Amino acid sequence: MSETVTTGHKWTMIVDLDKCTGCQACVVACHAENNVPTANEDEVVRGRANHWMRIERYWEGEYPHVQARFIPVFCQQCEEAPCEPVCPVYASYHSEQEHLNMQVYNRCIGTRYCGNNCPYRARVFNYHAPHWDAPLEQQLNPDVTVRSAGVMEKCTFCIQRIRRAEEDAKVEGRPLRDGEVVPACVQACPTDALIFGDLNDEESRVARMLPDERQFKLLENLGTQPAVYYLKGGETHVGE
Amino acid sequence: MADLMLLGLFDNVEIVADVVDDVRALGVDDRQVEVLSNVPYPAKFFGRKAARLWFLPFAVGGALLGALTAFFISKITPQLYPVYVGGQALTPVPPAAIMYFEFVSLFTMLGSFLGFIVQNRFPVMSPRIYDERITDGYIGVTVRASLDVAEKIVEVFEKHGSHVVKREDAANFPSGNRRTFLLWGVAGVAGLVMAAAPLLLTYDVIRIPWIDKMAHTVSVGYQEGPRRAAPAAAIPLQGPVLINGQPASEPLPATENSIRRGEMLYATNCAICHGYGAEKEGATVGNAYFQEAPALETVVAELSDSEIFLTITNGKNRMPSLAENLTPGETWDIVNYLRTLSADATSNADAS
Amino acid sequence: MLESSATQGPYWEQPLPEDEHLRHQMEHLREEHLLFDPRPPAELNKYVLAAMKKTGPRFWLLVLGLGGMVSVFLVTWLLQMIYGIGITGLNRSVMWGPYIANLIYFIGIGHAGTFISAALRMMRMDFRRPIARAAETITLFGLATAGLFPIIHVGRVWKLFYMLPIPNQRGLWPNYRSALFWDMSAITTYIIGSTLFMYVALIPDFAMARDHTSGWRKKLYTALALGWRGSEGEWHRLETVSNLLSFVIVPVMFSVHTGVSWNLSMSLQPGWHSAIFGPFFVVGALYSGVAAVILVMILVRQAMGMGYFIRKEHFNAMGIFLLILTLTWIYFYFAEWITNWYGNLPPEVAIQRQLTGPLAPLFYGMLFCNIIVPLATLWSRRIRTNLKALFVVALIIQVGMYLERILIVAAFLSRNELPFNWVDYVPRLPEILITVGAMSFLVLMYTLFTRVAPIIPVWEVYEGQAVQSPRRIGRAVVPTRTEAH
Repeated sequence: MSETVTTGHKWTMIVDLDKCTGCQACVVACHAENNVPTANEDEVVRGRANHWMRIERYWEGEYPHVQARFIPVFCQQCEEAPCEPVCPVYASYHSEQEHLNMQVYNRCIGTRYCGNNCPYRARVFNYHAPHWDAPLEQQLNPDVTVRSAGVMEKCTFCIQRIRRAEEDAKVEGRPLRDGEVVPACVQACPTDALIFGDLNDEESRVARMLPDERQFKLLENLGTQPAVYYLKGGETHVGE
Repeated sequence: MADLMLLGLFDNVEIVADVVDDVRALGVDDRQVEVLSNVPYPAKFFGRKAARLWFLPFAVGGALLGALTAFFISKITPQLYPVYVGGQALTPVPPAAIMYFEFVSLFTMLGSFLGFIVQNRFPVMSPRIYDERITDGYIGVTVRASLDVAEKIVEVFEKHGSHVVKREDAANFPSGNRRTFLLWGVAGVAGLVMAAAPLLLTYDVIRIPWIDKMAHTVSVGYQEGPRRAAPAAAIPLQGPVLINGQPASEPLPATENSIRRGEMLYATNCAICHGYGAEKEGATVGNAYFQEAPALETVVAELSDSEIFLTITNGKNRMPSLAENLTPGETWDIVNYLRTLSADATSNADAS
Repeated sequence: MLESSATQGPYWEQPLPEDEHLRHQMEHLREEHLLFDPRPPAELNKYVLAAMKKTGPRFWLLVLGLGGMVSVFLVTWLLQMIYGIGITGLNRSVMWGPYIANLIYFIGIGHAGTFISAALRMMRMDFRRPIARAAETITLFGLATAGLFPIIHVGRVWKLFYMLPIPNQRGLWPNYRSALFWDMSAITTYIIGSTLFMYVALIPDFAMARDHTSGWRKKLYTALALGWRGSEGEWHRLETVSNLLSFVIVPVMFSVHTGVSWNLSMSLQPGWHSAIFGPFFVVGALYSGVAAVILVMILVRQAMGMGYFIRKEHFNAMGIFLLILTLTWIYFYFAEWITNWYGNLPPEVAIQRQLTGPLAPLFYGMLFCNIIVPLATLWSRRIRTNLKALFVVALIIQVGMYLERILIVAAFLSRNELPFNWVDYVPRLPEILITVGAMSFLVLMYTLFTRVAPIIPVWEVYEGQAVQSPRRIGRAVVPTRTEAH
C-alpha cells in the first residue's frame, strides 16, 4: 500500500503550526463531541488525562530567552499503523476504503498493546468507568457510544460526522462536497489552524494546499505514513 | 489344560539373565516371559529383544494434525472474515511460521503421549500378576506356561534364589484391553462434549449476562429523546410509552429524502434480521438465538406509526432496542420507509 | 575389566574393595556422589514417602499464611475487575506495568525446570537425576502463575475468550498476526508439553507410592500410576516418549520466552524494538530459573530432609551452571546497552539517562544483584557448596532479575518518541498485593504438591545407582558416566 491510493476517500488533516495559538479550544470541542470522559486532578497527576487530542507544549531556549511551541497531536490515522496488527481480536483495524484507522470498542478486551505500540501515544485507555461532573453528563452526544472501563479509544476524525455527511450526500444523490465534513476540532479552531478534507478530491482545500514547502509529518522516519500533515511554524513566540 | 502365571523375584540383573536363559532352554517362547523392575534396565541386559515401538505414526500423525491446525488458523480464518491491518497482507508468512512451529510442536507432543498410552494399554483395568517388592528394587520375572512346564520353571526360579514364587491360574488375568478401550472411548466422547460445550456460549445459545456496560450507553437521547415521563395515572414504566392520541415523539414528514435515508438506515440496522429487498430473510435467520424475524410488509400494515416507532426504540420480544443506534429523527425516517414497503405490498396484492 | 559389578546380591549390597587404599577412596566417593552411594530402594522409598506424608503444625501454618496472601490477591483482583485497571498506577504512557513484568518473570523462573530435565537428559548429565522433579514442578506452577497475569492484565477480562480460536456467533477469529496470539499459543503449548513430560516421568514414582501407601493415597496413586508394573516394554516406551518429548520441548521452551520478548520487540517502542530481545530474554529466563531451582533445592533439602538425595555435588554443578549463565546474561545485557548507547538515538538515550538518573538506585541495584554478587561469589567452590551462602546469592539474583523485568517494561515505556508523553510510573497498592499474592500462590501450590507427589524422581536415582559404577584406573578409583542406552 502506498500513499498514492486513489480509491475511496483519503481523509487528511493539515495542522498549520504557524496559526496555532495553543488555545485548546479543539481539545474541549473534542471532549464534547466524542463523549471523552474528564479526569480529575489526581488522575491527571498520575498521567491519565483522557484526551483524544492534546496540545503538546515544548519550551525552546534557556531562560530568559524562552519560547513555547505548540503542536496539536491526535491520532495520525496512519496508513501503515503499528497499532493495528498487534491487536489479537481485531478491535483495531484498517478501513481500506477511507484510509482510516478504526477502533471497534465492542471487540476490545483491553490488552493495551496498541497503546504501547503507538509512537504518538494517541491512544487512550479507559482506566475507570467514564464519568462527568454534573451537569456535563447532560450534554453527551447521542451519536457517539460512551465507552466502558477497560476499553481503548482514540481520535476517529469524528467518524460520526463523516457518516452523517455521507448519508446526506447519498440521500440527495450527489457526491460529497469539500468542507461538508467538519470534525469538531476543526469547527472549533478560531485561527483556522486545522484544515480537514479528502486528499483524493483534487478540488478540496487540503489537496490544493499540498504539497507545501513547510509540510512535514510527525515521526515520519518510522514509516507509519500518517494522514496528518503539519506545516512548520516559525514564529510562535510566547513569553518574550 | 489351563495355563499358569508364574512370578519370581530376584536380586540382580545377572541372575535374571541366567533365569531368562534357563527358561528359554525349557522351550518357553520369549513372548511369554516378562521382566519387571523399578529401574529402566534395557532388554539387552537380560539377553532379550527390545519391544517393538510404534511411536512414529503417532508423532507424525500429531505433527500433521498440528500443521493442519496452523494452516487453518493462519490461512483459512483470515479469509473467513477478512480484516486488513497495518499495511500487512491478509496472510503473511512470518507469523504463519510461528503458528506452524507452535501447533506442530503441541500436537507432536500430544501424539507421542497418546502413543505411549495406547502402546502400553494404559490405564490397565484388569488385575495382573505383580509383587509390590518390585518397586523396592527386586527384579521380577513372570512366565506364562502350561502346567507341566510350570513345575520346571519353578525349579529354575528356586535354583536361582527367588525370594518368592507366585503361582496363579492364568484365567485370573484376562486381557483388560476391552475395558481400557471402552474407558478411552468414553473419555474421548466426554472430551469432545466438553470441547464443544463452549460453542453453546460463543453462539449465544446460553447467554450469560456478562457485565457489559457498553450495551447501556448513557449518551442516548438526552437531546431530543422521546418523552419519558408517563402521565400521572399510568402504571410507571421505563422508557417511552404510547399515550393515546399523541405521537410518541414529533414525527417527520415522509419526504423523498426522509424515505431514502430511512432505506439506508434500514439496510444498516434492520436488514440483518428482517432482510432487505429481494432477500426476505436476514443473515441471522436460522441462528439458534435469533430464530426468525417476521416479514415486515405484513406486520407493519397493522401498526400505527407511533407503534412502529416504539417497537424500534424499545425492542419487542427478541428484537433489541435500537435506541442507542438511532436518533428519534432517524427512527422516523425508517418508519416512513417502512410505510412505502407496505404500500408496495398492498399495491402488489391488488395487482394480483 | 568386563566383569559385571554385581554377581552376588542386589546392587546396593556390593562390597567395598579389599585394598585399604582403594577402600578409602571408595568411601570418599560414596560420601561425595549420590550415584555411588546406593542404599536399598525399600529404605529410600520409605524415606521419600515419609517426607511426603509429614504435615506438622508448621506446615499448616505456612499453608494458612500463604492461603491468606492468595485470598488477598483474589479480592484485589475482584476489586480491579469491578473498578477497572484505574486502581493500579498505570498511565497513558506506561500501559504495561508489573503485570507484564510478572508474566515475564514467572515464565522465566519456569524455564530452568524443563532445561534441567529435558536438555540435560538429552546431554546425559547425571547430576540432573535427583533434582529434575523439583525443577519441573517450578516449571509447572511458574507457568500456571504466569498464565494468570495476561488475564489479570486485560481491561475486560470477561471478554477474554475473544482471543481463543473457537467458532463463534460473531464470525470473527483471532488475529494470528498479533504477537499476543503467538505468545498465547506458545504458552499453551509449553504448559501442556511440560505437564505431559512431567507426568510421564511421574508414572513409575506413582507406582512406587501405590505399592507402599494405604488409604486415600493408595487409591489416588493407583489411578495415577495407570497400572504401571515396570515391564521392559513399559520402560522402553517411557524412555522413548521422554526422549521424544525432550527433543520437542526444548525448542518450545526457547520459543516461549522468545514469544514473550517479541510482545515487546514487535512494537515501535524505543529500546524494545531490538532483535536481541529474543535470545536475551531466554538467557535471562534461564538465569533466574536456575537460581530459582537452587532456592527450591535448598528448601526441599532442608525442610523435607532430603540431604541424602540432594548433595553438595548437585549444588556445585548448579552453581557452575549459574555462573555460566551470569556471564552469558552480562554479555547480552551489555550488547543491548552498548548498541543503544552508541546509536545515540534520542529516545533510547532518554531511556538510558532515566535508568542512570532518577532510577539509578534500581538500575545499579539490579546490576549489583545480577553481576557483582554472582561474579564475586560463584567462582568459589566453597561458596557454591555452602547452602546458606548459595541461598542468599540465588535470592539476590531473583531480586535482580525481577528488577530487570520491571525496568524493561515500566521504565522503558515511560520514555518514548515525543517527550510530552514522558510519564513516570509509580506502583500502587493493588499491583503490589497482586504480585505478592501471585508469588504466594506459586509457593503454596509447590508446598501442597510436595505432599502429594514424590519430589525426588526416585527411579531416575535408582537407575543411576544400579547402572553407574566407579572404575579403577591405576591406583585411583574414578567416576564414569551412565551410558546404558
